[in-house]
Amino acid sequence: MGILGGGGFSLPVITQTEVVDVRITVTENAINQMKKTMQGDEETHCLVISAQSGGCSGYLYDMKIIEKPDSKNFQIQTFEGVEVYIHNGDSSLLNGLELDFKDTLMGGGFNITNPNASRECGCGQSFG
Amino acid sequence: MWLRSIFWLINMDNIDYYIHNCSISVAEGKDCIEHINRLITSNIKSISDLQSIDTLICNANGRITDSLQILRIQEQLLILGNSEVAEDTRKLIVSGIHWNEDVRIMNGDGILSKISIIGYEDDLLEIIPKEYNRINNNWLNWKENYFKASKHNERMKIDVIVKTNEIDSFIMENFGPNCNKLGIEKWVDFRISNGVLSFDEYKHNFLPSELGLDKFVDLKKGCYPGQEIHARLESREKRKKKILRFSSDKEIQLGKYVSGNGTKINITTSVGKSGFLIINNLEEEIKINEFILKTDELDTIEIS
Repeated sequence: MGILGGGGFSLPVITQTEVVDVRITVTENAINQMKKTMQGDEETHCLVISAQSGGCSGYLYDMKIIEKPDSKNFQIQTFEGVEVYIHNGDSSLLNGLELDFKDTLMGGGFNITNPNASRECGCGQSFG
Repeated sequence: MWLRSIFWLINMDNIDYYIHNCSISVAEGKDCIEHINRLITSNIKSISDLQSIDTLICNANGRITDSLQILRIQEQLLILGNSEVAEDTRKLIVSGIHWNEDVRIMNGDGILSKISIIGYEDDLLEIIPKEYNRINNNWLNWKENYFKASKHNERMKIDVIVKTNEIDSFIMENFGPNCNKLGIEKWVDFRISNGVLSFDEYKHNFLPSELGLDKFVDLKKGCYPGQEIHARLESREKRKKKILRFSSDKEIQLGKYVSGNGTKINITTSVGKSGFLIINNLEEEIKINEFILKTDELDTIEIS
């Protein structure tokens, strides 16, 4: 048995404690695109916007349309019937962001402007 | 036991140990390797059981903020960093856990410790278990602790992960009463003579290449904080700063010194019987306060 597997002790788990009330804005273009992507599944699906470590600047954005998860630990905002979920753990990193959609061939797609970011990667996926 | 006592009487004056002032965290959960891998300069995706990988954490400007030794123990990662920045590093690790990932981070500070046993190879080989194969470079589970041996010139160093409250009994039981606890000064001398860098070097905000730590940076692994800067520097192949080991018969203090032609700043980061110096102009004669220093290149560079 190794040092971590026994010996009658357990190490304290570190949890992130800073949770703020999240308010985001979503542009008309982004709402239309979300509806188009969801194809009428707004009742059962939602958009989750989240952050994870990595990228050139420290954190990476992640956006997924998924079946609605257990709403515990999420903050939810609804935009014309489309629900956007943000996890409490990401609340301080993502509060105040604006989600836009640009319908252009180059540099198009969903675009996030984050007031908490002091720097952003050129590709727009990473912030810090 | 009496044989071991005789061995202690003959040899243990030659064996020392040092208790590292390091921070220890444990990561667990099925996504912990993926999560930690996104933060560091090396690639640990294929780390195997009892393998350790030395790596760096950098900021978005590519500057070193911490050095880590990551040891995989079954499905857990033991993460050893520098205690001076323990809180910052742990905050970074915890704040970036994706909501849908299975990762837990635990604080092992004060509960687990890393110690280094230093002695001559012949003496230490009498003590460590026979099944230990130094060539494979892995750690060994030894008496509920973990250890790894490495050779440093004519000396051998055995790193051991041990419960903090069992350090004294571990030393007494295995190395006897004459095994000496090293003070920081002697550890610094050992570090400098063997090219082992510490937080004394990192705290000055250097880039990995400036400290000769390129081997701990994997530019093919994908994005990590600082990667953009490291890739750009590598493609330009320009380096202005360099770490050297110096010696002098004059007393040299830690600090910043104006270079020989008065235009650049050189920094002494560690000073013992010899020292580490980061020079800021590769072309110049190296002087400190008008003294010309004897310098040599570090043939091996490690992080502690």
